[in-house]
Amino acid sequence: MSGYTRPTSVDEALELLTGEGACVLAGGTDLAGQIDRGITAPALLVDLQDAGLGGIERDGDGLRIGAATTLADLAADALAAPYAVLATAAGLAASPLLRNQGTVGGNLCQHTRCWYYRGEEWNCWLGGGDTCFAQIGDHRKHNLEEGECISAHPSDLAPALAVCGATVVVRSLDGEREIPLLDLYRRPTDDNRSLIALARGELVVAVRLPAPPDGSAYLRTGARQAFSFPLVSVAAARRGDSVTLAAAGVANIPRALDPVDPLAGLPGHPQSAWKRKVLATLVERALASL
Amino acid sequence: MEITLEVNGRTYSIAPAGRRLLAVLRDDLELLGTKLACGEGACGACGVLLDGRPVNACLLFAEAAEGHEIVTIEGLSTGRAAAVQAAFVAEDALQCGFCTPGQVVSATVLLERTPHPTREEIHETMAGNLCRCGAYPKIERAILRAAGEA
Repeated sequence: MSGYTRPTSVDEALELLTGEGACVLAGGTDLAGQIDRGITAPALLVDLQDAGLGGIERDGDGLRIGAATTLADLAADALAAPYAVLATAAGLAASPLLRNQGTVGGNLCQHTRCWYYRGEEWNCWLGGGDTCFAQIGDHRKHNLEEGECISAHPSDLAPALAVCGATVVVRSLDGEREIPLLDLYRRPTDDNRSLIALARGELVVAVRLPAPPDGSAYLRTGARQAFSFPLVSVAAARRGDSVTLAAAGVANIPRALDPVDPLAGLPGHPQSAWKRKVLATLVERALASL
Repeated sequence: MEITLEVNGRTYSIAPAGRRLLAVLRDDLELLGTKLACGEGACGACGVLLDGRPVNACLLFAEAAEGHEIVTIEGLSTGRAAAVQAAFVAEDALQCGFCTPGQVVSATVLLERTPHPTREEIHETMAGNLCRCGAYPKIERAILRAAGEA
């Protein structure tokens, strides 16, 4: 059983998060499932709801989105509307009920839905074991890259924010740093299996966006419309003649795509190669809509 | 450690002991209308209102609900909620009825925000509530009826 505390400032939260077994609680919709499946067993839940991390505000020509902003608030916010790719992604994630709970920071930092990683009976490579069971088992919904872990990145917001040129504001007791959105993610290695490039004690506090793109779109394919993670999703943004593309569901982290050759480096696996066709189609449609 | 929860306008002291709001509602407060089905936020059978917004009580840590106004299906019996429930009965919008409390919670909020929803708006807003009996066409008709349009 986890303890619970609700700090009233970011500094207090950061202090609490240095404790052994302390874990960030935002919307909790991913964390609850991880606890239920034994993936994690936090000693202390540090609930951020009163830490002042919610809200969307103008930031120069752009926006600053607090990490505890719910997906529902982001999808409905007038300030976010000019970022069509982002508002669309926020409105398609999860389900209406989950969007009232889930937050921007939590959506970016959620763990993969790989059924071997989530399955209590498997100790997969990503979870610290020796074997990526997906590669020798059922990987119909897994990714298109070669590598030690072929799980599919699940965040709708990550590719959408990436093509908007977003940065992530990360704080710790040592100070603050700001990184390009895609740098929030890392390829897991033998000695560090994390897909998130945060050090212990670091917290995502906000996402910052430059001025809106001239045109943008978010297209996704899921098993169904609600409570389905993107099997493949494509985010596209255009500034002048320059187009930026990113995708979820095709690598174990969100991936930038080359508009000229979006399938480059994505050979697929025997059961997941169908995603190449979907990816190509979504890219074609996204580019046509810009 | 005890916390204070405000549920359907009443104040309760409970010991959450790491549990979810759903378990506290059912096991401690004996409010059995809210249902456990998938337990992972996929189905909406555990839908309750937190400060007027539908959420999945199965994923909500009970401690996190302290200081918020919780309304369960038991607290939704008057006004628009009553009209929604009457419309579900009139349209026979259920078979087993297990998902119905969650459906009514979501439908009531939908009509409060959008008194005359289009079918598309109904589909979008109700997308987090599954009905394994497949009563969707009747649920849609019930919502339209409650909106005075069927």
